[in-house]
Amino acid sequence: MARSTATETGTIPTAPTGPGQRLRLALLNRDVQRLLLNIALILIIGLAVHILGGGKFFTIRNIFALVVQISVMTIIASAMTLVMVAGAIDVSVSGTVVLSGVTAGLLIVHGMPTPLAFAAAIGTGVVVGLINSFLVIGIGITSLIATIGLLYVTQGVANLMTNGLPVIGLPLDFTYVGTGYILGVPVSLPIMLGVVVLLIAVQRLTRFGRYIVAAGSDPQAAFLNGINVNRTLTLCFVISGAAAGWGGVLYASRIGNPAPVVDNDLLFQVIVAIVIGGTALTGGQGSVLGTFVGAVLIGVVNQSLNLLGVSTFWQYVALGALLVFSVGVDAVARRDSIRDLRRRLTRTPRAAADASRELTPQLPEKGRET
Amino acid sequence: MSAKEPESDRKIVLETRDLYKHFAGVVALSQGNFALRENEVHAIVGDNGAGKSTLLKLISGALQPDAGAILIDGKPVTLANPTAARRFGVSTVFQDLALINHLDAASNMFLGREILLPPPFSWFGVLDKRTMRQRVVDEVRRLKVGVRSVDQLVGGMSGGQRQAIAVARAVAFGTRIVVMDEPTAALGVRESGAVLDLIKAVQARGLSVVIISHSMPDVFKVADRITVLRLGRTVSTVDRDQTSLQDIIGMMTGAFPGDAAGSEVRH
Repeated sequence: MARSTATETGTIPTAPTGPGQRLRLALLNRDVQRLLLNIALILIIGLAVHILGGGKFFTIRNIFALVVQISVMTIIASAMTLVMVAGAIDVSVSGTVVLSGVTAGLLIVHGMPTPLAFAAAIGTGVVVGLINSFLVIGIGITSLIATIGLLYVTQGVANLMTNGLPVIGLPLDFTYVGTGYILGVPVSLPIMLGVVVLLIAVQRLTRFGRYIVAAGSDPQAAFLNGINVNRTLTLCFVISGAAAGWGGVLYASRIGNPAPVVDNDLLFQVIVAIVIGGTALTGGQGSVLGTFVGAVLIGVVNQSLNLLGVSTFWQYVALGALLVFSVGVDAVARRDSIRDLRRRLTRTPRAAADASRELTPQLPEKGRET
Repeated sequence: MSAKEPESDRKIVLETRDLYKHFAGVVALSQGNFALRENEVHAIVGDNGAGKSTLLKLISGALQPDAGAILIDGKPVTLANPTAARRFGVSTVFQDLALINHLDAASNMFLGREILLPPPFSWFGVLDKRTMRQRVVDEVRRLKVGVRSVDQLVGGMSGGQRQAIAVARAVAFGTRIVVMDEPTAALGVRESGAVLDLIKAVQARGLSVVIISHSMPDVFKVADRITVLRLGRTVSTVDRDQTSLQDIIGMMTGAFPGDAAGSEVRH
């Protein structure tokens, strides 16, 4: 679809966009294209494996297993998407998972009621988020470095708390949220969907969601428009920390005995899900919905290879290939659009003239030289 | 200096008195005097380093003066930040426009002053997107801003369209004074013309406009009065009709003394 020339100024009054035009605009949107591509991949891979694997993919059993497998990653990735849209990154999450899991476990062993212990675990994540934002905003450390610091600190503290050993002596009901069922579905399912839907709503419907984009896209411009960029970023880190804290509870509950061992796969799968979902590392761009679809895609790939009996080593290869493919498609699309633009400019003399006028800086004024 | 015309009886809406600002040992502005009349277009000119941008940032609330006073409607005010300035009816179009490329035109226009749905939704900061969009469409029509759609991302717009969106944002929402930093600097000839028309349209709506510009032809096209700064001081304020390009350039470079004391400015 050719875009009309970019130089039409002061001529066309704003036409209200009808639903048809809005749909067309949406389909031209690269984020929407990526979302559709990922959904298509999910269906194609799923269908192929369903046929190859003897009809075992699209079964309730398999889908529930998939949900349980991706729930922790999805919850954390959805929240971290907000941090990335705000222009930062939070790699401390996998440390927070360990710390909050161990915290919840120890508190329960020492007699705290389970719900309170879970709340305390989320609180641990909030504290980590606050420390992250203090380091990034208050002191001015790059978020990648600051959160790597917290990744190690949280891991270390978790080891200190348990002497490096798994927490034992937990009651059986501790595993309920991670492995139990409610109304015929895994407890993880409503928990995961609840977090995802809540964060999608926050991003799309609220003022805060808009401020996150502004802060990540251009903090200076956001400030000039009266947006408190620091508060926005702090809140993103806190949400990310809280989600990682809650993810830690789910994770520990699934294993049964929270251990102070960091799962690096989890961290990288979170980042891969976010990137595949179309979130830019440079800030300002990305959606929780995209991340959710990206996480499902990762889950589908892993689960498919499991079903087909492919070894874990090949799963790593597949995950890496998926990431490179996904980002590669985007890079090619962008390169093509630049090439199209160049071709268009050189084809019509009028457009070329418009473009060169656009690109030529205005001549210096006579009055300026002294 | 300027002859007393009926125009000069117009109310002064914004005035600065001996504004002083330094940065790490460098005095950027030592005597910034300036008076804006109601419904005029007032250009601030000067060579690089004359203090124009500093003066503009002080008026817009982006910087705070070390000494001196800013008066709005004759009352001294403190403009702690651009939002505070907006509350006094002073809206600024910064040179880089301060638009968010990743948001659409409508979101940009309401950035920092979003309308929320009624309670209980407002407690959670839920946006009233429909109302905001409608008001943006109205505003854009009224100013005859040429954008294809207010749902378009600002990052995909041309320089002139971006400028138009920034101006439309500045004049909306009860603004009385619009401050514009180099509005035509990055634009081609045709787009500059459109922006100058936009400035005239803003004036026609009864607003007062302050522009900073390096482009003398543009200044002479739109400004009613011109204030010249040199080396951090206000040299003079003159009526456009009573001066010439040579005079202005003379004052900018120091070839003409102007009324160097700067006290004349307030006539």
